[in-house]
Amino acid sequence: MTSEALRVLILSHAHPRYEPGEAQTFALETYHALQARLDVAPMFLSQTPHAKHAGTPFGTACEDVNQVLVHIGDYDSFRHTAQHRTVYTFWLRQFLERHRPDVVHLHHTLHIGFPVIRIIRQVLPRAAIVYTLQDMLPICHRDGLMIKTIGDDPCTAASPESCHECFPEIRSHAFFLRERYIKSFLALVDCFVCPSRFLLERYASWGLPREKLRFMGYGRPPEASAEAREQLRAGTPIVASVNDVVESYVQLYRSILKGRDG
Amino acid sequence: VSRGETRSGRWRGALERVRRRFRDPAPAEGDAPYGLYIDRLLRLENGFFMLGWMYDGRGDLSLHLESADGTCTCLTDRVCRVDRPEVTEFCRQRGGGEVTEKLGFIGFISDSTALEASSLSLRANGHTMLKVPLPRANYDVSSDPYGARRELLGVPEPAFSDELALRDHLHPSFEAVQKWCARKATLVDSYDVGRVPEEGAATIIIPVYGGTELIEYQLALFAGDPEFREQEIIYVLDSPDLAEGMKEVAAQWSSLYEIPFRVIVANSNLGYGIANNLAAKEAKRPLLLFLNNDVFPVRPGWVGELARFYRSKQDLGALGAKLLREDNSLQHAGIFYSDELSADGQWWILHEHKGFERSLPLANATMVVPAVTGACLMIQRELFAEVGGFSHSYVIGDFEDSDLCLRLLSEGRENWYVHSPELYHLEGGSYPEAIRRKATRYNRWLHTRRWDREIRELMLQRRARLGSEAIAES
Repeated sequence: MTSEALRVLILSHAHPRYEPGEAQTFALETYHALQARLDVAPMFLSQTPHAKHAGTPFGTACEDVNQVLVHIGDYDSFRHTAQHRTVYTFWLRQFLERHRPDVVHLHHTLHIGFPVIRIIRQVLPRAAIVYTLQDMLPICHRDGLMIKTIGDDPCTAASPESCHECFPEIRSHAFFLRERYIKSFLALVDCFVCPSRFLLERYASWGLPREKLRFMGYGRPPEASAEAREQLRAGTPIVASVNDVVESYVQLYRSILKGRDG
Repeated sequence: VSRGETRSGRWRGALERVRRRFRDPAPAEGDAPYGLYIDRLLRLENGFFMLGWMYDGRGDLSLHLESADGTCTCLTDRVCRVDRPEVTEFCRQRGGGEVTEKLGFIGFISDSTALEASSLSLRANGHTMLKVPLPRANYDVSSDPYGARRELLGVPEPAFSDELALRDHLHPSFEAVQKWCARKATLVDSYDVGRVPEEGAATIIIPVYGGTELIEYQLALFAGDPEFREQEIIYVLDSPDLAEGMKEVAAQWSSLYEIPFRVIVANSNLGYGIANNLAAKEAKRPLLLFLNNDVFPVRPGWVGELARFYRSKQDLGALGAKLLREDNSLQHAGIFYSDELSADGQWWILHEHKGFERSLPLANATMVVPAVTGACLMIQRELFAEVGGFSHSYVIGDFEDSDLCLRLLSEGRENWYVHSPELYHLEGGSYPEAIRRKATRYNRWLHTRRWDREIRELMLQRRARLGSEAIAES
């Protein structure tokens, strides 16, 4: 690596300012923590449900030039794809070509869609793509809960047949295709960060290569998370504990990029 | 609205239509009622096809074809009677008692009188009791063969399991119709999305019917395979209505998945054989790979694997691959035939080891087979042209693959099944059930008529082989 700062793009499915929630709050925390470092130049790109302007899907969240909103528009929430593919093939391509990050860290792709991964790989063949698996949405159409719709029983493994049982109106073929389709994009990711071992095991048995799955906690004691959320909402980012996580992220990014050079 | 209500609603509608067309009896007291109606008339090249019904409550009426100059030809024994439950019900309600005979009829009339004919009549004792002018043709085969095909597929279902109806009426009519469907087949649009490369082993031809949404899934799964940057891919939209909006979304897909392909749009819904033949004419590579749009690869590199195998064998005809269902059971490991599934003596096309687990040893061998499915079929382009491509005689499609393979066999070629490239075949039907059923009945009949002797011989060989394998194992 040169002495230049590492360009890291954090992609989040929402901005906490507009849609509070655990995953996006954490994503923004890591952005702030990265920003505090001299060796990293981060950007925070998050999805927004409302278009801010005509003629562009992009918009601003605050006075920070590195926090950008993107409006994806109509969304296919079965296979998780923007209905208008031009948001990938034109707008996001242009964004990526302009900023050319070394690393793209996706925290969630809900309302952004999995094809964003393919456009990242296309524009940036050598970039490190890291994906934090926040829940089981890629596996389970029931909002990633993996709880059966009948009797609310826990589900252990998705399959075209058992998913069709949960959603009788959707043919089993469709679930088969959904899984193949989503996996075709996830195959382009360099490393999956799993905040829980349970999640890691679920994804390993779903078929993601174990060597790409990495257990990394959120770096906050669970009892502090409510308070942390509160403070973040109040505008003071909690960086104390998240620094450690971010340090291990940066190490991960560098090791992926180093692997590329070798 | 429940299904029952809809059905009885339709039934009332059918009865009402019959009522309007029913002629009251002649004024003579005591006369029984009678009726005659032509529902559909199709002008074919060498005659016409009609669907109608007649009711003879008197018991002495005969059906005649009359021309303007008074020439009269008796048709009573030349039409084929078919059951028309709605007409039967009406006649029963009209006090005709229990009607036992079939009141409907279909007729393919092809002699010289047919071309001169102006009306159809019911006659008794040399007198015309009822005369119905031949209506204007609903369809003329040379101007709208696709409409004519739709009408033929509207013939009541029982006719499709009646040997005489099939042989003397439906078959000659479908032959004329299908010939014109092929003759009229053209492209209404053709465009490339992305830059289709010049070099590469195969042209992959993918017919699309019913909807275009599977195309994106296919492209997403092809995208992981570097070979797909080199292949020539032709999507054949087998119906012009599929083309709407396609151009725009195709460009986006091609850009996102980095796969160039060609889109060609057929002038009508042509059916599997005719649509694929049309696409094959556009192909430029030495090998053709016919692929269904619900087939998805398991691993990359499979096109090259098929092409290498194809080139490694002399006298290869058609090459097929191992296909799986979404539950990882076998969908296809070669074709075999059986005439034991129905009493009509016709051959059913079946897939070897279908439904068994993908690791089944019998399916995990590369071997010579009688035929392979058109869902994934590779053939040399020149050979395909030499044997005349897919037959255009089959209606909508389903039997062209077997027909092609059997033709290749009779030309001294061998058809092979390779087990190593695995693909998923989701096998979704995209045609309405009744239409599909009738087309399949006709196609199965035609396929049997063409290939009965050859299939019988192949299946005797198969039986002998199964016997010797069983002995070898014990």
